[in-house]
Amino acid sequence: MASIAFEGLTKRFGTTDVVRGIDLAVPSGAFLSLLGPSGCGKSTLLRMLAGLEDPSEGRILFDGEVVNDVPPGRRDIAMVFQSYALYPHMTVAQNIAYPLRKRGVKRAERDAAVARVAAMLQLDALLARRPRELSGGQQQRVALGRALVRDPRIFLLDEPLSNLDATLRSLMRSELVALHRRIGRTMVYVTHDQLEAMTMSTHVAVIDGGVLQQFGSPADVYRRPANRMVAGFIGTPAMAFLDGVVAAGRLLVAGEVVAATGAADGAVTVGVRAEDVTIGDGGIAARVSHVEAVGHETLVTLEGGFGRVTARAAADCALVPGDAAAWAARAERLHLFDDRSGVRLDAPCSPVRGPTPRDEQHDG
Amino acid sequence: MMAATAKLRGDGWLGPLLIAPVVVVLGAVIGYPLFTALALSLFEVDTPTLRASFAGIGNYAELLGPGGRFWPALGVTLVWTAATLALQVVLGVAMALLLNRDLWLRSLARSLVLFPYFVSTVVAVLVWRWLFNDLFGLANQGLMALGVIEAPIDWLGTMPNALLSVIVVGAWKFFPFVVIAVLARLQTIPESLYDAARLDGAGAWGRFRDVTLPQIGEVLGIVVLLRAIWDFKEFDLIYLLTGGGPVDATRTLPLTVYQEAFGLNRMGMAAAYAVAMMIVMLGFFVAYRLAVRGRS
Repeated sequence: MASIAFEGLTKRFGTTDVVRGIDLAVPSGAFLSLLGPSGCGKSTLLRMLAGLEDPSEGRILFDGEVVNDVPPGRRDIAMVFQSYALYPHMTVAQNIAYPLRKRGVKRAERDAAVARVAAMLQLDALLARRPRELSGGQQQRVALGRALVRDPRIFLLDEPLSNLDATLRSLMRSELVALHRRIGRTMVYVTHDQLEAMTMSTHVAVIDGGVLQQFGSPADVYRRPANRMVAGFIGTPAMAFLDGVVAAGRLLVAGEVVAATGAADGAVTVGVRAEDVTIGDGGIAARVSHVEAVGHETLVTLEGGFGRVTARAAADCALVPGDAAAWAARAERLHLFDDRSGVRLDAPCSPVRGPTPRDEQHDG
Repeated sequence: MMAATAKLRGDGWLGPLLIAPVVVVLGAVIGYPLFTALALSLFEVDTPTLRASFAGIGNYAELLGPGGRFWPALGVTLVWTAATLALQVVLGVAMALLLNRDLWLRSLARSLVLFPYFVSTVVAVLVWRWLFNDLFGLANQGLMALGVIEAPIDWLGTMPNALLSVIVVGAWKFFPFVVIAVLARLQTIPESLYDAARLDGAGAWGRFRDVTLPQIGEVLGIVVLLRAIWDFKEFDLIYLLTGGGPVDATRTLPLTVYQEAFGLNRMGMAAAYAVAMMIVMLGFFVAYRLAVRGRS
């Protein structure tokens, strides 16, 4: 077990900064997700953590000790690769035993360790097979087994579920969480799938363009996104962004007052999540442009002079594209961002009392 | 059903007709020479006149017997094949590993390394004979200038120098084949395997032994078998470099066949050597087929 800290970590390839001055720290036993779109630098960050890439600047600390110059094999970490990276000519048992063999562990001890890990991952029956005779999910478990077998202080997982089908992915997600709980080791998990990050992690680091956008708990990142990038990246369907104006403590969208706010006067970007939108009689006039029945609910996309928002409606919603509808959003759940920098404005919104009735706001 | 059978019966001549050209061509270029060689080997034939008298297995008895040159020639052939092949593989794999790295001017180096393989054997051997020349050859000049040797060495006229020279030139000429095959395979090895091995605690040698070698093992097996067959029957390089000398010290089986046929004018005996050689080659062929089948 080990705590991890990055201090001003930067990686440059040629003249391009792939990772730019990242500072963050997680306590021992954390499940940290590095979340971001492809090419955001999260994999490079993980590879630096593993020692497979040298940082151009900055320090990496495990338990307060700088490990920049410690080679990968001595960092006491294990990694599960996206492609699993199983040695194709070795059997499952040999693959799992390999890290022990390289560390000079005795044969009998090795066999015992392999048997223990195989039992934990239900690989007992497959030990004599070679990787190409296994399904994707089985290969995944072998890769996990190879990481588990030497009980490292940190586990690194590089998009380990991305090659699995949806059912298996959700199964492996809960298995990984259970595993983390059982062994209590620090885990660092790279993913571009916000659902994985949200459901598995204790800590989420959202990265874009090589820069740390936000670091916090999954709930933090969802409820109080630090900027437009984070707000738009986390949550399905994606948060809608509308142009708004603040005037005399009132927030207006498309000329309608939608909330009272403490934000300074001027243009703002208003972020609205689908679950905070109610379709009803009053509110902002719109036209239904798109209806997606998901089963347990219906996603209704509304368009109008304000732009476009998506609403979560009941499964039996009867709206069809072309219908006229009006919508309102729960004022206290609106997110305000600076319209230029996209940074979150920490000014609470609240329902307006007075001329505009907003009764339905409190229904959901 | 009936109609179909009838139709098939009506077209029955079509199949044989379609494969007939292949049968004829293969018969002419493979069957006939093979049969002729087998037949020839049972006769004593004078090459210039082609006058023949039946000898039965006399030729075979002679070449395998105490005065025959089959066993010594086979020995030379095996030494040449094994040694030059080993050098080709070591050199080829080393060069392929080097060219697989991010090297300055890598693409240029990759083209240059193929040069020995593409250059005509006659040209290559002439250049090497210049290098080996005992009066003005660069090999002797260089070694003497460096003080390694005091007097010029006879590279091609004495033993074991002649055999060593042939082996070295053969390795130089044919190692690019190993480079091409191995390099192509090396480029398909996923980088993540090396990353995984590093994290698992494997050093440079460990990564070569546990990742690279098993991955190139398959292609290396095929390359070794192919080159073994080709080196075994190599003629022009050895013939042009030493002509089989000094005496018979570098005379491999193909050179013996040639000498029997056109030097000693014993076409029947040459055919017998060739047939004996073919039987040895058959062993290689069977090994190759078994290896290929074992892989698939």
